[in-house]
This record gives sequence, C-alpha cells and structure tokens, in this order.
Amino acid sequence: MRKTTKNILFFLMFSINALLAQSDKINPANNMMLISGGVYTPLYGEKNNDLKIKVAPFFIDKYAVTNSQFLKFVKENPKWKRSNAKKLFADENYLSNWKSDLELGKNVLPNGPVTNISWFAAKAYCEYYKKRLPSVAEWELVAKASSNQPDGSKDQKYIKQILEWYSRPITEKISPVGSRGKNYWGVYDMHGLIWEWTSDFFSSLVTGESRGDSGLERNLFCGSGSVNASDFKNYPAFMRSAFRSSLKANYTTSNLGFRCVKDYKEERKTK
Amino acid sequence: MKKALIISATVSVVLLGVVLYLLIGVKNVESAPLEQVKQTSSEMKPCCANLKNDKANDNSIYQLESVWKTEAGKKITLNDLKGKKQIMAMVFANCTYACPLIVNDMKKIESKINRNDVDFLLVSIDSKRDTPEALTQYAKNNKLDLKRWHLLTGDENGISELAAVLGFKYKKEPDGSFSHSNIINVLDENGVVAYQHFGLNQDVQDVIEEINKSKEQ
Repeated sequence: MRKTTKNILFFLMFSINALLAQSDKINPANNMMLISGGVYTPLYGEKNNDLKIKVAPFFIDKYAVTNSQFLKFVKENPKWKRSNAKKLFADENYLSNWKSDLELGKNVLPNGPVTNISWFAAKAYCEYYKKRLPSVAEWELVAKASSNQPDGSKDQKYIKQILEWYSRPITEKISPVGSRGKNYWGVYDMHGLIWEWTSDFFSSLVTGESRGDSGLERNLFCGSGSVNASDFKNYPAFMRSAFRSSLKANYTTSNLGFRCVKDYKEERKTK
Repeated sequence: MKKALIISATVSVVLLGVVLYLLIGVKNVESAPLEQVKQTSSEMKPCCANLKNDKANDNSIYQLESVWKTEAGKKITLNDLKGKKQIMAMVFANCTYACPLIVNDMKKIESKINRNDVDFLLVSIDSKRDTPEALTQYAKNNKLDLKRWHLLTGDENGISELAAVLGFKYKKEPDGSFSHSNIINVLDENGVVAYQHFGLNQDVQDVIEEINKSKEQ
C-alpha cells in the first residue's frame, strides 16, 4: 500500500515538473509568486485617514525583469530598440547603459535588473507577456513584508535596513537579481536593488494637486501634508511616494527598473 | 509517515489541477485581445508612417494608439484630431469643483480667440460614468458649442497613458470622484504639447498669447 502511494506520488511529481517546464514556454507567468491579497493604507488619506485599499490576490514576478530578458523582448519587438524608441515613450537615456541596440556590453550584467527603462517600455514588456505593471497598492503590499512577516512596516529594524539602502549611492554595476534576499512572500529584492515602476505612479499627488480646493500647501510633501499622513514612522514609504511623484512616463534613470504582475482572477476565470 | 504521504499526494493532485487550469486559461486569454490590438495597429499605420521621418513629431501625443468615443458615440483615435490646434483638459462630468472652473477658463479662452484653426477638447477620466450620452448632456448643461468642442471618453488604459504623457496626475477616491491635476494643455496641429497652463481660476492670458504666437491657418 505504502509503495503504491509512493509510486503515485513520484508519478505526480514527475508530471507536474513536466507540465511546469512546458508552461514556462507558453506562460511567462512562471517565476511568479501568488500574493493572497490584503489591505494597503495609502500614505496620504485624502478624505479620511482610515482609508484602506483592498488588494485582490495577484501573481507577482519573483525577480525584477533582467537585462537579458528585456533584450529578448527588444529582439522580438524592434519598435523598442534604443534607436527606434520615440521620445514621447522613452527619453534619450533609454537603455543607455547597454552597448548598442542588441548588445548588453560590459556595463550591465545579463542577470542584473534592466534599468534606464521608461514607464511605457516597462508597460509594453509586461503586456507582451500578458501581464501588467503592479499598482502602487499592489507593489507596496508586497514591499511591506519583511523576511518573516507579511507586514514589517512596524518593525523599526526592518525600516532602518531599507533606509540604509536608500542612503547608499550606487557606485558600481547593479548586482544580479536575487541578491538582496526574499521576503515573506518569496519575492526577491523588493528593497535594496533598484526602484521599480508602478502602473499608477501618477496617482502620487504630493504636490498640492490632490484637492484643488485646499491650496497648494496642504499636501506638500514636507509641509502640512505629512500631518495628514497615515504612517509617520515609515520614512522609506514617504521617499518612494516622493520619488514616484517626480516621475514622468518617458523618464529613465540608472536605478529604475520594474517587475510585472498578473491578476489571479484572470488566471482562473478562463476555463 | 503514511499520513504525510497521503497529504503530499493530495497536495500534488491539487497542484496538478492548478497547473492544468493555468495552461488552459492562458491559451484562451490570448486570442481575443491580441486580435483587437493587431487591428488597431494596422489602422494606425498610415499615421505612424508619416510621423516616422519627422523628428519633431516624436513628441506628438497622437502616437498613442488608444481608441476613444466622442460625445456622439463615434470611435476615433487621437490622431484623428490632427490638423487643428486643441485647447485640451482632462476632466470628469460629475466633478463639482475643479472641472467646472477649468471648463470656465477654457470658455474664457474661447471667447477671446476668434479663429477657426483652434478647437476645444475635454477628455474624461471617468471611464465608468462618462458615456457618450453623459458627455452630450454635460456639453448641453455647459452650453458648449459642439462645432468647436469635442468630448472624449475612453478605457482606463487609454486614460492612464494620456495622463502619463501629459504629466497629469489623478487618483480615484473611495466616493467615486477623482483627485487630479488642473492643467489646460495647448496642443499644436500635430499633437505636440506646446504649452501647459497649471492651476485654477488664474489669468488665461498666457494661453491666448501662446496661441497667437502662430498665425491662423
């Protein structure tokens, strides 16, 4: 009896492996982790401070998209070659750390995260693989997990670690993806490697636009706006919010990359 | 030991199910949206072929391929607006404070510009509520001359892309309204952003001067 069960088990494991290997080809959703959803509290509550955003379950890339992965995408989508990209969609520094249109060169690692990427380029990549960019809420939900708990935002030691990274200038080549460890969800490098694009980065209204009727000062980042903020101690979150609000869709910088997500529902409803 | 084996066997079966589900699912998702995209891009070809050799138009927001509906329910792409200057703002019809002021500012501009090569464009950020009918009603309530004014409604993706290229920030609030930037854009004949006027209830002379920089075509 025991032996039969064992055999069945082996057979099952084998077939699952085979199927997974195949799904690698059809479905780039491999190497994604399921996030069971949760609640995200935006940094700036507009109308009340108890505002919470419910985040539905979704899959997120385990790692940021790498240079070699993006190179493959560019080869299959020549429109996104460095020399072809339109200025509206990517500024002049787009992929400027690569040697040429289709060569990575010495300045980047193939398994390092792709950077010098615009929002449009990141979005196009995700869409090509039937994925999308994460929303701020989704990204922050994953990012607030420390190595051992889903919400590390009250853990001052964890916050301090992140801050230390934010204060360190990048001097050498960006390290390979996976080098900054994984968090509670099994997702790597949410902090410490690069900044990442979000689908609705333009929803960070910290410069007074949030409520046209309340004057410019009310929501200024360092001014009265922070009085309204939901989490005083989470400085890294403030920094990310400020960073996002300074972005434009065609901007590219040497430490800004991305990863993709996919709806959990979308995976399930298509039977 | 036996128990553990049974449990792991069950887990495996469930996993197998999930994997199959994913495989079948993904195949099905692919077909429909892809066809749509292809269609749109082939429709867009004439535009982009023309734009290709013109560096200045690398900045044209008419390169966005999203499909919109006018207040009359007609499907268009932004490139269909080519040829005239557009005074343009992103708003939503249920907006009670900022948007009426923006539209008011735009009407002020309209009253001071007497030329035929300038149109006025309102793009809705509320894809759920702002149907062509709602926009028609909105135009009526605000006494907009539909010969000069165009109102567009689109899907969330199109809206976010347009907002992104204009540097327009917006966020949906729990009550269904939006927090948003207040910007009046001046687009040239080719859809390049020539000027942006920020804020509410301010002197619009800057916009008028921007338009009068060029002669009427």
